[in-house]
Amino acid sequence: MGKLGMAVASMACVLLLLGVALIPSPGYDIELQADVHGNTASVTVRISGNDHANTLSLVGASLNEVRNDTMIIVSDDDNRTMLGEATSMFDHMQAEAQLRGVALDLKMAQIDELPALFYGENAIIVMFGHDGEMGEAAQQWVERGGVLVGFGPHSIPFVGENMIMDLDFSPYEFSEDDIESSSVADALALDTVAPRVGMGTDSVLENGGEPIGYSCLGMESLALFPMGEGRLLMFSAHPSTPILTSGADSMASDLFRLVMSGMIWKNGEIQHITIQYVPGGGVWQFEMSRVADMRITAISLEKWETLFAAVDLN
Amino acid sequence: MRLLPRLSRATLYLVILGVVVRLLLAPFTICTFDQYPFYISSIDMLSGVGIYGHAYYAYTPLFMVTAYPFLWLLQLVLPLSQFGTDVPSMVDVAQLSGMVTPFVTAPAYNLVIKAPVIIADLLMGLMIFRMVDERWGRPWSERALLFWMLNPLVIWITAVTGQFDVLPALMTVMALMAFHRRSYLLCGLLISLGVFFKIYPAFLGVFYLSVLLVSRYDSNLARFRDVALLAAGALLGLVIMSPFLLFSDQMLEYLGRRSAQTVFGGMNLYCLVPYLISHICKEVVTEGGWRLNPSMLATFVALGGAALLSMLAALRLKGRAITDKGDWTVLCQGNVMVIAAILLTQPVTNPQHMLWTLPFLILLLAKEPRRIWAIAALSVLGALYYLSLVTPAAVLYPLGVYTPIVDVGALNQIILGYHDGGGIMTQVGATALISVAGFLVILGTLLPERYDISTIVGRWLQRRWGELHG
Repeated sequence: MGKLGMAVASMACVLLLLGVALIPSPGYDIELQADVHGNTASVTVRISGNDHANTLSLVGASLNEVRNDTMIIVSDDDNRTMLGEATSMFDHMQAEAQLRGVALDLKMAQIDELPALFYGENAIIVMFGHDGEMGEAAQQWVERGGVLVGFGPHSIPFVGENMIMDLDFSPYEFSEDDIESSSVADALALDTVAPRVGMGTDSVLENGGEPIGYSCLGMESLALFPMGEGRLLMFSAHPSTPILTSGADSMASDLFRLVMSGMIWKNGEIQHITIQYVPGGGVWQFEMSRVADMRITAISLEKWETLFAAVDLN
Repeated sequence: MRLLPRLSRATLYLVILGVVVRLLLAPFTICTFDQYPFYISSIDMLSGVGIYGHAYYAYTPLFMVTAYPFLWLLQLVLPLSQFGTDVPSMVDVAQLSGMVTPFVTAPAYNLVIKAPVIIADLLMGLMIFRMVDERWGRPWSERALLFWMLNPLVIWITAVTGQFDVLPALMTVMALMAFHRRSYLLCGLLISLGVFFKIYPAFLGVFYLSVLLVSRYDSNLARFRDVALLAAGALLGLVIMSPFLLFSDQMLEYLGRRSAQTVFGGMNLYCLVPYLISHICKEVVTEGGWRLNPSMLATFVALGGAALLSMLAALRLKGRAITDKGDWTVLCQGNVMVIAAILLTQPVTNPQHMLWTLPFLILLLAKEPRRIWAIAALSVLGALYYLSLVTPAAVLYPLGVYTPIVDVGALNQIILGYHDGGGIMTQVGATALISVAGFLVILGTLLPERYDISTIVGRWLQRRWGELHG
């Protein structure tokens, strides 16, 4: 073996060792415990094995329901833009679930499967396409207890001008100085701050919705609409550039946080505590007001060392 | 083999200048759009969830693997929270241009993530020098070294935008050296490692296999042995990458889903007819209901074109043994042909992809001086193409965010002004013009001298220059 061979062999050995070092093996962990004393919930958070500082959000809320529905991302293979968005959403959602150690039943489906889905059992259906003729079935499925997730105008078959839900969609003017966050967006540090399209605040409220994202100059980025036994969660726009503030990555992260914290089923105000933790972790104790059917969620907010835990107090 | 060859004093100083320029530019410049997935992958690696943790990094893994030791050292002195920062004031620019991400990485991070590519840049220069020196001696070897080290496009891609194409390119150049030395195991290994940086070296594997199949051998047993060695080298590469293949299915999953991409264009076939191609492909539906989308068609065109050219290039060595200088040149030309086929037919061809072919064009310079025009044209067009997309201001955000030298608002205004501007040369017009020119120059590298557009234009310019200056 010549000197070139020796050099390449050495390089190959180093790469093999680095490859072994990079096998995913997060060593950090979180424990969340809550004890009820009368009207108070004593919450203990224990973080261990972390090498980096991070921020943890502790969110408590009363929920109408606690469910672990299958999440189905519906795409349209004939529409390359929709397919790309749906695929990206699937990848990021799957990554979020794996990183946070959550068993999320995640599937993809085609739009021609929608009729069966809308006559089927409860689920979270994430809509990246529909054939426009399923409005009534979709509405009835939601009212029976389904959760439908839409992305801007034309994404939900019963939302639009002269339809069951008439929402006002207009270009969303992002202004750093004028943006306001809802309590949910604040607590979960939602990423989607700059969608291309917004929903008029008035039209959200007129249709019985609650803004739960960011608000800027009378436009909303995200809203939750209780409908019968179910929910419609509307992102105001399709994923777009740039990533981080407007893309499928940010919307996937937001959707994950909203679903796993139970915020899509929230009933009333939320309680929120922020913890700044350091390498090596620690133990923290807090008290929260006990409310009926309460879920307490702990979620780390930065992208590294992703922690998640939840406890339900029934 | 001496790592550092004896160079003339002037060449040595110029090489040092090339390295210093890279080191000075690296911390304060970055392509925010391309860098964000690298940043996420960096923090994923450092927090123990692997390269593909958050599903942003969508390449084969070796670039991040080479960056890992540098990043690990960095996190000892810089907290992850200070690797980069959100810059909300960039959102408008990001939305308008589609080529900016409102997140700017810190100078220390920029230097560290670019360290492997700057080192690879220097190694590539030295490899080119050695290979040319062995065949044609000085001054060709020193010229070739400087053509690489002082090439503005190479500096732009590695030190400014921080793209890592020089790494797979280095593997392919080393594979050429190994193949010519009849180290087929080594050649197979280098091609395989190249594939784990970016996919395209796989086509060069087809080329080398074809060469072995058509070359003169005394016995089929000897031919079988060499083919087996090449294949064994490639398998060895798979073994080295086994941690990524065995312990995580994310790599194959994310790479597989990239066929859903919707982007076409750049300096390739699709700069001319994207809408036509898109329309044609939309109509192609097979009886089984399986739909052929444009990116899949483009992938098939690239696969078929590159594989066909690989075999055609290999046919030039039919019946010859791979030993003399002439065959080395044919091997080099084969690399140029295969890479040109990939560049012309892949769905997107960006400036950084020029680094795949530039080393081989430089290696051919002494034998084929006309290649100087293609090198010059690709270098200039590659740099202009990037600038036409978003202006030079787009790479200066680290300077704006982390120093008082430039104001972020001013950078935003430059980019917004460029995109809003009309006049003779709009952003779309400039990009289209450069794309077409780039396509023609790459096509010219495949063609005989009299049809090579860069040579024709270059020589015409040379004559005009001569006439003007007596």
